[in-house]
Amino acid sequence: MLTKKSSGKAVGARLTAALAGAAGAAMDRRAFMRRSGLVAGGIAAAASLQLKTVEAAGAAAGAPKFGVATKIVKNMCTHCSVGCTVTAEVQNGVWTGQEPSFDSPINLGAHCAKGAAIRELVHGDRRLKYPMKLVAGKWQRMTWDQAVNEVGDRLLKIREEAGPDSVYWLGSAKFTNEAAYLNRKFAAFWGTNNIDHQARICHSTTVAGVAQSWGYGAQTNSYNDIQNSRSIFLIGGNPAEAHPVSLLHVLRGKENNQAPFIVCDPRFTRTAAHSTEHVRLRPGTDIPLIWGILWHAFENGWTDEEFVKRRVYGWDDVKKEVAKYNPAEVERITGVPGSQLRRVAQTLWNNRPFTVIWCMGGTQHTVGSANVRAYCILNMNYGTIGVAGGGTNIFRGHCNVQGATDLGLDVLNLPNYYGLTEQAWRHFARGWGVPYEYMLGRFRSKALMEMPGTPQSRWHDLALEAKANLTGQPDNIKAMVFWGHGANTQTRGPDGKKAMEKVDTLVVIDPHPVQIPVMAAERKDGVYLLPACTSLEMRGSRTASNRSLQWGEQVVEPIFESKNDYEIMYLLAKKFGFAAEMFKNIKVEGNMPEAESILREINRTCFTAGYSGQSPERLKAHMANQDVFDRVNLKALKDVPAKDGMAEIKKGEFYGLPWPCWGKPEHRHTGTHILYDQSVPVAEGGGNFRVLFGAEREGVSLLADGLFSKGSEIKDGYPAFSYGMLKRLGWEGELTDAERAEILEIGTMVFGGNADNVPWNFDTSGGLMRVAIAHGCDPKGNARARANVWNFPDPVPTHREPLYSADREMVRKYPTYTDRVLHRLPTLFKSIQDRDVSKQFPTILTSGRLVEYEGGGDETRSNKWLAELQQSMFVEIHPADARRIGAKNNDDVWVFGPENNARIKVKALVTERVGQGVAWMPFHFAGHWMGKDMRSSYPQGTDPIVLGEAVNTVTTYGYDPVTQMQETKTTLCRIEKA
Amino acid sequence: MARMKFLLDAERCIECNACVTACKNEHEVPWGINRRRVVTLNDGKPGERSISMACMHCTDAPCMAVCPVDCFYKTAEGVVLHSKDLCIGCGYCFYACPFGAPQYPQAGNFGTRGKMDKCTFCAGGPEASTTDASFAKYGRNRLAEGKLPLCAEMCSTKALLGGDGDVIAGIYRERVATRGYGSGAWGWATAYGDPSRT
Amino acid sequence: MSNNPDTKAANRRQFFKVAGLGAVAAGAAGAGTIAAPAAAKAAEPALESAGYSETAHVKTYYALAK
Repeated sequence: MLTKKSSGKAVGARLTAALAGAAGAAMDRRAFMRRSGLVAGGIAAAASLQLKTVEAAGAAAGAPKFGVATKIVKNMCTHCSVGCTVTAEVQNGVWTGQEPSFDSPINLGAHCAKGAAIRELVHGDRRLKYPMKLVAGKWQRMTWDQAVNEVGDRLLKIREEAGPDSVYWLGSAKFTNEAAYLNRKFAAFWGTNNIDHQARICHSTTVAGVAQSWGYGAQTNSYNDIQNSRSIFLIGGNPAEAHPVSLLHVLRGKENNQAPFIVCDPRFTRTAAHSTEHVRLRPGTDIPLIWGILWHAFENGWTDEEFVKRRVYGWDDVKKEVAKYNPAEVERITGVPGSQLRRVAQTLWNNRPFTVIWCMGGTQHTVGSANVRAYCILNMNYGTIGVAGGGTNIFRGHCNVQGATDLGLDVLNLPNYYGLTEQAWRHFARGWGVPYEYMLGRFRSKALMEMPGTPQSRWHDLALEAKANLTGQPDNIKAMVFWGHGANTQTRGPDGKKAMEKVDTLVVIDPHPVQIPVMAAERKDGVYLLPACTSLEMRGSRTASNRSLQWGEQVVEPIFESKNDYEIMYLLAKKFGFAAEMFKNIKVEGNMPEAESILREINRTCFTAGYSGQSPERLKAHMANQDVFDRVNLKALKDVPAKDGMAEIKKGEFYGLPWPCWGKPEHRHTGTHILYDQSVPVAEGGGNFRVLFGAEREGVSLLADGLFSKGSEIKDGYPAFSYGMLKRLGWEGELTDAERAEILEIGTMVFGGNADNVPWNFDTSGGLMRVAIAHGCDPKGNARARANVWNFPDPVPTHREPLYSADREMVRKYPTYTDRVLHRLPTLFKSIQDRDVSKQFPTILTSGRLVEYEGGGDETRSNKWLAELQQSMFVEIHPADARRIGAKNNDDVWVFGPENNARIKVKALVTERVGQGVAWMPFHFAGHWMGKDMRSSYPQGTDPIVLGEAVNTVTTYGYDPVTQMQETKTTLCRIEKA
Repeated sequence: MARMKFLLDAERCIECNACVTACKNEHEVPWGINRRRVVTLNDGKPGERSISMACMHCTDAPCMAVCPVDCFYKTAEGVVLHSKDLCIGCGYCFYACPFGAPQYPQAGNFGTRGKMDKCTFCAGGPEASTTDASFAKYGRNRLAEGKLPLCAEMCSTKALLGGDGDVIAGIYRERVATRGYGSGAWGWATAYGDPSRT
Repeated sequence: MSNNPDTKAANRRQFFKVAGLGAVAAGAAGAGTIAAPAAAKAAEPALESAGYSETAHVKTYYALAK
């Protein structure tokens, strides 16, 4: 007994030391945080929790009760786009336990820290409990009636005086699909295109760049499918923290296929720690890095020539551009040696198919939309798109950011990518059952109705810019509505603060007050906080990153006085006087629109991305029978008959009917697991690249050459289907009478009497799709992928230095764009870059995520189980840089930004995780403002447990010219010991 | 009888802390008490590995050996449990434990210790497990409900395995064989030299 | 301390065990209202199964962990 102990002692001692965080050299972030957070944690703990001697449980409310009936309710986690099923145990209307969701083919029971702690979100210790407003600088409780009336009156007055475009509706990627659709429709009825959501500042560049490359702006395969990859190329992403459950699939792919796992990132991330190769590049040099890889591929013939010849447009232009990036030049720009990139190029060639994965490290740049196109071109070179194990697997951020994007919560689209043309408006007016003229009457003018709004990344400029500098926008915005969106995630915090002080009305509709009480702390009135419940407290569907739609049931009634988004929209619509028109085709009980009924309207109107086939009955059946789906290819392994109001499941359907799910629900399309996959028929989820720009350009074909999806009767490239094309093919007679009648009606109502012009996605009868698919054809045509996107500022991506770059030689050689007017606003590039601040601000600043928090962080920092894990905001500094400024671990340091005299006070975490000359900060914190703890400005009881400085207080100007994506990943700063 | 064990596959662990919050969620463990935690070695450097640690339910448990009031006991499955009614909060088991598993709430203003708290392998305590009183002291007894510890059941990458030692060891062996290279388990290099693949 | 650590250790444990029991006994006698009556009963060690069995739930977990 004792002999054993002595041999185990040495290890034991070491482990104990590591556990206690005592070994200085081995100090990890947790040990660091535990020490640095002691004071804050102590205060928070004392304020929020009564520690008892015997009981394990602090809060009696919410603990399971024995001998009480337990109901199991399934919904989805709201913290990222993986789409983990949450299985809730509910007793007497209280959520008392959470079980692993083994049946879910997506998460197989797994959760990350956030998903495993999500029950606390609905305990709601720190939630906004009732409507409040600021009166003479004090928070005052009000009733919902008062809130809707007061907010409504103020907004109506602004609408009257300055026009509907002077109210900005910022929606949410946390909405259900139904709420996202309804919110977009709501803005249309209000009369503005100034509506947006988080996608703008996370993956807007992906959506734009990928849609321009392949046809749709979405993940092409799925998380599960990564298990089929022979190698994995990940750039600008840290899914081990941002999408932890995705690593279940990534690591299985890595292990089962012995797949090389290449991670390109300026930081040695938690994900990089599991890679087989880490490529550390200088922030903001993704394009030269990719071209550096392709340079070797071209040198050595590592190109799928057949693929680029027959399925790609503009390949020679890529070759010309890449030729400029020889290994020496690439090393000069990126810091990565040619030998490493040659190894990467060869590894990818030898281990195909591989998937390309990226996140915000790629997208959040002034060159974001060009970056993502370079990634797509990497895929094109190796021909690894449209196949299992391949594809561009973009990991979206929020739980329904894909769905909210698809449903048009966006400044340049009506739901499902119909754009803002007159035809688009007529299409939706018809679907909504209101005359087109009524919709036109809601706007100031037809021009404004068809003019894209201003992206939310620039909302503060819309408030602050001199009226004379606005282009198209009639007046500055006077009211800002944050509906499920934070403000600390937007760059240029001090400008945001100024805008909040300037506008007439600020409205927050959210489970938490977010950072508005902090940033608007100097206001005395005109700020309203309305409690919305979480998606767990309502019914509805959400679209995971892999395009699967999952139906969530309501776990509990909205807690406290919170209301769900559907009801709040209805109440405001009623106040504004358009409820009857807006809800004409939607079932409403009392003030509560029915989620299923909204989804049915989506099914009836949203055909472009194939949201037409996923009826509530089908989605509910999938959720109730998760265990019949394969856990890698997501296919139903057997039929399940219809029952309890749920539709039948046919063998071969993909889990969650990932879009496009063509035609009507009764056409029983399987959904599409892998986009652009020509190896299976369209009816079983196959397809081609989408035709977006016709058949040819300057005499060069844009259609695929002799390659087509399996079973296609047209054995070559072909344009997208229309009624006219169906006639020319001689298939018109296969339409039913009802389908034909509907197409002719659409011809009259939407296309000025010319039915031949009715395209596949405007045909709400679903007939064109049905007939095309019956002939093995893809309704969206058979195009080439585009390596040359002539309608972008750089048709072929080229390196451009960040606006704030410390390397002035690089700035001279690779300058940014010229200044221009975009999206109603002056948008600066060159004039910002020309200002050399590299002497005063020598350190590159980049930002990212932590596993325990999400987004702006208010939900997660209010969750005691998560807040305990990270109690202070910090900056990662390389040991050499830390020595230079004399800072040690855990010291307070000031981080200064080059605009607005901005500075923030944070803890130093000295680590080799970042390269020399690079600093990194997480973006989830708020509640401190330039050194000051603002806890007292929150309404009592709604302050998150953990507060800290927001990184975006010191981030700077910089926007992508295509989407106005903000630059959060490359700027400059100076760090000094505090 | 099956012998209950935890096994952490360091090749899989990504330090997501789901095991930590799952435990908090399941047992309503208060702030400051961590029945389980994740420790990262070589943080931020090549070779970084994370391991999730809790009570290892030792066969020859040092805590049991040193407890002055003999509050520990072991179940037939080898789960080491204790009685909070007997525990005097002396902290001696904390000294004995090689893993730092025992936790103590602060009981008063002078840093005095409350009753020891630790991982129960989701197996409750000495009282009938389906009572509110037992839940308050030890949390839920998942084993008796035909389930396994929630930390293992919810692990994001199936890195933390929990259950019948023979079964999970088999799962782990299979993984190592599939990977074709040595274990990523912490301490492997010390014991068996560097993993074959670099 | 001692030339014979093994003996010493054994002695120390015995000392603690006796002392510990004494403390509990004293506590129970002196302040019966504080220590719940259940406390004494809970001392009997449950040298029995905590209830593990290979249920469908447990089997599913093992299958998914592979």
